Amino acid sequence: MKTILPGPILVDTTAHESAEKGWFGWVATVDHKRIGILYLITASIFFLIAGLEALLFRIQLAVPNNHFLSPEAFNQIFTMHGTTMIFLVVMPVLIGLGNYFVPLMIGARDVAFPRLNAMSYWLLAFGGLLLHFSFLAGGAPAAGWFSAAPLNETPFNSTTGQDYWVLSLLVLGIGSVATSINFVVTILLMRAPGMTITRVPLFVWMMLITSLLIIYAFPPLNANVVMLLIDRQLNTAFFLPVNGGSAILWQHFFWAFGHPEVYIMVLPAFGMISEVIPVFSRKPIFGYAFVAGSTVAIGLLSFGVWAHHMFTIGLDRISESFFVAASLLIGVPTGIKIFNWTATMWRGSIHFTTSMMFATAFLIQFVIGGLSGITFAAAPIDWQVNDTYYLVAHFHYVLFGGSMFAVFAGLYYWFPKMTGRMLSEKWGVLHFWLTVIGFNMTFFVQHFLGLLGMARRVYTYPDLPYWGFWNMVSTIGSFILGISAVVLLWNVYASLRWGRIAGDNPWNAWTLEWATTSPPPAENFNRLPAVNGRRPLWDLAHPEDRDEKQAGKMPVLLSMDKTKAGMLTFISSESVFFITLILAYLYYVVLAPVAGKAVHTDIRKMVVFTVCLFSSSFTMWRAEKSMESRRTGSFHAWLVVTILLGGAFIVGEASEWWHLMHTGVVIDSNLFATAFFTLTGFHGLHVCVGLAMLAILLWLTFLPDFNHSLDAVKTIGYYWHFVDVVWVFVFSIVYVRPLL
Amino acid sequence: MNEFFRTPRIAFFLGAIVLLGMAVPSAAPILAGHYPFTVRMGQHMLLQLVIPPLLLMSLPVKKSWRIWPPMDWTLKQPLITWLAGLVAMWGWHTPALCNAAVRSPFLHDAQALSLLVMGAAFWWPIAGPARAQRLHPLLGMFYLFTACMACTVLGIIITVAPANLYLAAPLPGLFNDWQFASPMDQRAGGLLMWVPGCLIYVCGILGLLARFYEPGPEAFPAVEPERTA
Repeated sequence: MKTILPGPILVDTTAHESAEKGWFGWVATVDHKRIGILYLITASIFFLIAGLEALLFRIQLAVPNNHFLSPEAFNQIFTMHGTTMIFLVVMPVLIGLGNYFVPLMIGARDVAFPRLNAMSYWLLAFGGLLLHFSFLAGGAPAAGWFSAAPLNETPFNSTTGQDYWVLSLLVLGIGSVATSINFVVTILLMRAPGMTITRVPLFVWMMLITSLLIIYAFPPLNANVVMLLIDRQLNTAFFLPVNGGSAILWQHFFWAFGHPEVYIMVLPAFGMISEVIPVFSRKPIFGYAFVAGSTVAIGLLSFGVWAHHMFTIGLDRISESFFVAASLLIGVPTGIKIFNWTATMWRGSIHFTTSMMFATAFLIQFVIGGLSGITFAAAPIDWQVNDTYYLVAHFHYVLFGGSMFAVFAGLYYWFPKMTGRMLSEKWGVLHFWLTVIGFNMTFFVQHFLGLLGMARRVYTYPDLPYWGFWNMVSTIGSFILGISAVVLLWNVYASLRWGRIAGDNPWNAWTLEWATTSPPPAENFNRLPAVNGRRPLWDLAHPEDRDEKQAGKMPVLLSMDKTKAGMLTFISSESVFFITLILAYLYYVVLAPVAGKAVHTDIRKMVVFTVCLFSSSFTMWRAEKSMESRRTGSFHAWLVVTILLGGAFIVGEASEWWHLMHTGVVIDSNLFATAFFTLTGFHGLHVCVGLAMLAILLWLTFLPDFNHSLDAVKTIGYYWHFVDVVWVFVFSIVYVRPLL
Repeated sequence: MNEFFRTPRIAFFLGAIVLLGMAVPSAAPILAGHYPFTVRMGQHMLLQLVIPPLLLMSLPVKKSWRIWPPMDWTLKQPLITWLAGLVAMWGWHTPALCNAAVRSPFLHDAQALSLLVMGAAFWWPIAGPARAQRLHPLLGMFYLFTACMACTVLGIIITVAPANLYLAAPLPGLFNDWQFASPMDQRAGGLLMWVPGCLIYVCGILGLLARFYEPGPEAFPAVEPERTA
């Protein structure tokens, strides 16, 4: 158990990789602060694009029987609006702020894997470009942001837009998982001395939980879009009911991602609110442990309730009742948070800065969105109002009135730290009121429209009583929102040029990011204050009235090599990807007997190659042992044997495929074959990646400056053992199960 | 003994006994074959996921417990105890074993007992009375989260599987009016494992969090698990 002594601690100030100047410096950067800003700029650009799209369809909907947009254009524009706002605006803006502030708030110099961080950003940028390139390549996707099957299949959507949607989601998904692994490892392993996990700022805690949600929720989406891509490109029928596939399975997998995704977009916002409200109420957060704990509860529950998005597809009553009950439960931890924030403000000395005004509006609007959400949890109400404008109003109250308002609160709060200059409060107040009025005008009236029966996603509507009026109100509101965005942009521009110099800690806040200069130097801190509680800067200023009277009670958690930790996190995410593929296989081959003629697999041949693969795990372990005792010769020998055994497995797998294809069994023969080739193919692909890693490792060990990093070898070993363990499951399900 | 009555331990113990009373008489071989599958699933959940942690929490907390060296060693291996939970849950719900346990009174008792014992092993690193053998709360949360995932996957499979995999007879009387038979029965059983089953793990995780945020140095072990000589 370490006791942290009070007093300033010097951090290692070896020069950060010297920052390149100019444009190239931004492109080549691996600094978490620059990458964070790149995220924010990218998100702003896409925010403008998606906002303009919204204005276009609000013009179309302003009056009944309008012909401003064609039905096709309307479909494309609302699909792009939704997809862009979710994947290219809300997520990147939250990840961007996280990127900038998580390392600062925990007193780290950078994230755990700076280059991986840069890769994640560029995957986002190119994923976004890929999605928007579809406009030039024959039309944007047009099946809505959740792209329900079978509408997303070739017979119903034959343009390439849908394929661009799939590919860009895949790229964005990989980037999001990569950046989340970075967050998890950074938060768990790179905290400053004294910054125990029970003391981290709540924004950091929420980013940790969000990252875990991304790591476990994105693999089902990735597997799902991969299957859709196979359907569309290789003519198979995973989700095509006419050929025996299941459109409902698409929904299950999509919402297994889609519901946690809601919390991915809202938990970091909760985190920002939990930073802003205490600082501007001049009180510590009320019930830190409850805010942190209820976040975990929300995160866990979010994985178990996705079927409430599917009440209208015809689930049976029994299933519905279970998911109604579980969905209602989510209201409890969310409500706890609302009470915590309110209690923090209670009898505080509240400073209504623009940031605090946005946070207060967040509280009210999020409660409205949350309450209408609870109405959706009741299946009979859901049958009535699902896919009406009532739903549109609900999720905009959560995602705009909630998440985006929190982002604005966070932006006004942290802008001084990022730029060194204050955002103008005068323009800020104007921005705030325009946003509040515009937002509520646009979306509150949509509750009425929904209850009047107006379905979402209709490109126009007949002149029914009140419909035209409320739609016009909504359209006017959306233009006010558009003006508010212009005001914000002007505020940012003007404040960057002429804004008041901020100083290190303009808000007199308490967390570590305010203990360095604004903007922070490349290495973040020259000196870190001692961390003896949740508010280190308060403790520093008030040594007589510290938050925690006794220092350093908590033991330091986990000391682990960060590369290993990163690999283990990655492997746990990959496991979910394989669980999804295995469930799909079981569904098509075992559970829903529509798969067609069984594929004649050759178990005797595969047993031999399976033994090869399993023994390669043993030889890899021997290689690690040799490295441990620094016997380079034997290490090389075991590594080469491992590669040969893995290679033999791939050859065996290939010969199995070759044989099947020669007997006329190809991926689009029937669902059985589709599921078989997809599952074994993805496993084979992972083995190949493992082989490539082993080969690179072997090559590196022959270089003169190889430093005998046992951790590196073990990291690659983990991956290799993982692909073997996956084969245990694939082999038993594909090859052994039919024998039983 | 006095201490036992003054702490929540007595409540945990009584709770476990009451639930055991609910779960076990229905294990009587005459009745077992005539229960809907859902009731049996509820029984299994109680036996494996609810009663063992309650019993463990009713034991006095010590630094470490010594029972029998091989067992002490086993209980200190989270991977083994995790697998014990997984094997008990997946094993007894393969249709062959699950149905065999309905037909044979001996297997039925073995099932109940093994669910209890393996459940206790599973919960030992989380709710066990040996403080030094408990997992760090963050690791414990991962332990429960992955177990929850395994439980969810099995629940989903049972829910989606073709009907009539499991032997079951609807109860006479009221239940008959509900027409509560397969496929509805089997689906409800699967859902029971999928949704409320998951909630039990969530409760465990929240309990760990409460312990995590509890001030005081003795709440959980330090970095290195202590090695007993």
